[in-house]
Parts: sequence; structure tokens; C-alpha cells
Amino acid sequence: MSLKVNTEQKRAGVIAIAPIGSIDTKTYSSLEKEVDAVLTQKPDVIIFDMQFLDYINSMGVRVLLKTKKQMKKSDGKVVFTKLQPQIKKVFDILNALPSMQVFASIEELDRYLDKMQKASR
Amino acid sequence: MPKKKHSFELKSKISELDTLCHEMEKFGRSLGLSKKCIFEINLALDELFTNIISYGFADEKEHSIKITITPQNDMLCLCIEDDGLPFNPVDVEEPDLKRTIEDCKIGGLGIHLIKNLMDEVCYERCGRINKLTLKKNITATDCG
Repeated sequence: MSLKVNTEQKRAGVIAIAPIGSIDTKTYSSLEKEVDAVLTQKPDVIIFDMQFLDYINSMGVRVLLKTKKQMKKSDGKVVFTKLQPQIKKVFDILNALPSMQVFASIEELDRYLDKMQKASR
Repeated sequence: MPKKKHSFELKSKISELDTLCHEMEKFGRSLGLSKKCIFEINLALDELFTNIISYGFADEKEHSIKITITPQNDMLCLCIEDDGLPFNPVDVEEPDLKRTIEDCKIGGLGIHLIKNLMDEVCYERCGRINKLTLKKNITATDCG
């Protein structure tokens, strides 16, 4: 079980974080570090690109929820894309999905970001 | 399908999670379980093991945690034994998920996951040993 985290600026104020592998008891702190580094850039939106995330436990879910809480303080948003079915099930059991914005595809997310950034101009 | 039980012991340290995951995957594959099923069993064992080594021992000594996996007809039976403080996860109250999620609290989420991923969870205190038995139906459509 290992974790690699890629971050990428998608557009002005929008940063994508892609955890690859497993967010578990051993690896969650390395994701936390990456998230902290991204938060210092004060983005409007953080996208968690979940397509290559194979495994998550409750410690991992907590990091994602904490990010959402921190972003909310500065009126920022956290969105999720491409959850694998087993990851979606974990969120489902924890009843975390209603509080999350989840997009099935990049196109759907792009339309949302266009609309959001237009509205804030 | 191998009918024999599979048993192994882990030391009470985080790095043993890899061994746990590896052993479960190897045995799960030998039984022909789906990836999804192996994921769910692994997650339940991970939450339980993490709980035991985080809160289960009052001293700094190294302890041993015994895992026994036994196929029983339609069910896979997972028995986890530790010599830590008495702790019955079955009695842990369901967390107020809405508040827990909003406040990002961790309390109770792992146990809530275990109870929802498994079909049966039973606890026994046998002398100085916590014995938790988890059962998972492995013939369900997404678990065969």
C-alpha cells in the first residue's frame, strides 16, 4: 500500500490534487502535507481527482473532509471527480456524499467551473 | 476452493498493515473472491487492526495479534484475537454521522465501516483475550 500525490493548476484559482494508490493509516499524512501546501496558495477550488485512488480508510476520509472544512472558511470549494465504485461505497456508508460535490467527468466539472467563475466576475 | 483455514500473526505496529493486506489478498484470490469483496474485507481488517494498535494496549510492549480466516460454506469467517484492554466494538454506539462528517471527527467512523461492510460482527472476551469474529457472505452477486 503506497500513495503518490500529483498536484496541478488547472486554471486560475483551481488546483487539482490526484491521490494515486492508497490513502490509509500509513499514507494519510503525506496527503495532508500536500493539501497544506496547496492551501497556502489560497485556491478558490480544490479538485480531488480520484480516478487512480484504489483504497481509502476512515483516516483518509477525514483528510478529505478536513480539507473541505478549511476551504469553507475562505469561501472556497472542494469537488471530487471520478470516484471508483469501492471508494464511492465507503463515502456512501459514512453518509459523506450528500455534503460533497461529485462530478462523473472532467467535462461536467469544466461546465461547473465555467459557470462558477463567470458568476464571481 | 481451498477449504482450509489460514492463520497468521501480526506484531502491534503500523507497518504490519502491509502484511495484513498482502495475506488477505493472497488468500482472497485463492478463494476466487472479487476485487470488490477483497477490498471490503481488507478495509474492515485495516480499521480493526488500526483501532487495536492505537487504543488497545496500555503499555509500550510489542504484542501479537492473531488473524484466522476460515471459509465456511457461503461465509468467510475472520477471527481477530488480541491480548489488549477489553473492548467490544459491537457495543459502540452508532456515530451521529452528520455531525461527525461536518466536524471531521474520526470517532466511531472505522467501527461504523466494519459493521456495514460485514454481515456479522460478534465479540467475546476469553480470559485476557479480545476475540472478534467477522463474517462476510462471499456468494453475494458482487462478492463471488
